[in-house]
Amino acid sequence: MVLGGFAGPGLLVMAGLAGCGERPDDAVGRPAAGAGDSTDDPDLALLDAARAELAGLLVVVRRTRRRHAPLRGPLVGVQRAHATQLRVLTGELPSIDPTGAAAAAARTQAAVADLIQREDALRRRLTGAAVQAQSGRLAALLASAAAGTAQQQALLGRLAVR
Amino acid sequence: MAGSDALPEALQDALAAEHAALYVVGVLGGRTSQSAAPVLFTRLTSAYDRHRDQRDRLVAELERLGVDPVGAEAAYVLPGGLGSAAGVETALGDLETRLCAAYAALVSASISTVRRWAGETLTACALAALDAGEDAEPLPGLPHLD
Repeated sequence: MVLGGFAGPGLLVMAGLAGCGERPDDAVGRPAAGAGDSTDDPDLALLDAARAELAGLLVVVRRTRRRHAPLRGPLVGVQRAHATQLRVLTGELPSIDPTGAAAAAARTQAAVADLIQREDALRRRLTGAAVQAQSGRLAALLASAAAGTAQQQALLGRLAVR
Repeated sequence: MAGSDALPEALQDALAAEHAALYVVGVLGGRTSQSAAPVLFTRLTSAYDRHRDQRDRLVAELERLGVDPVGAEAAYVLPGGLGSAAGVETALGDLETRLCAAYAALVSASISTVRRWAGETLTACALAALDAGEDAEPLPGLPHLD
């Protein structure tokens, strides 16, 4: 699979990283010569996995906002942050299978605790993927997304102690 | 694979940013009363320790590469508005936000253990910026998207 949808904000981010990698042309998601899909290019497999993780978390955040009225406002920023990260990794927001992610927790505080755990898991996976990436630019994007996820985790932590 | 050619430059850029950060955080600490603003004072003390450790790590990585680490300037331009605790906090947040960009560049230019450390340090700076009152960002260290 070729990352063909790198448009809009994603391009801005990548343009901003110009000169950061060793290879001036190491565009994120660019397949190696002869590569046909994500099974050939390990970076594309990393991207696919990161997109799936982000999309799954977004489903849970949306469900939590729908189910818990007190969290609708406080979780706007979380949803927006991850939607932006996904948009940059994808080029557009994909349609998300609503059956593809776990349901929101029943109690409000449990829902917040559940989200904190999911944010932590996402942060760890993004950090690991950044280390594995062949492309320096993709590594920076994934590490930055991990840092943004850590910020959301910290904000949710403040919500939990209210 | 990102790596060797860009690495010394990214390390030097991050080190120059850390030299500036240590200077500014030191000044911010000097302008903050421990008794009047204990939380901010503790935050500044912690920031100073963290940036000193980060500086030392960058120096060690450069020496490992056989490169002379860039030295600190005698003085740096200070941000304005340091007459109040709020101004000091804003300056701290700005400083941490700027460092995020240096570490994002280092992630891009490095591999393996240095890349992992740079990524973790990027996260540490992003969290410090948040604690200092900066807004959360989807992608700290990268250009703004909105």
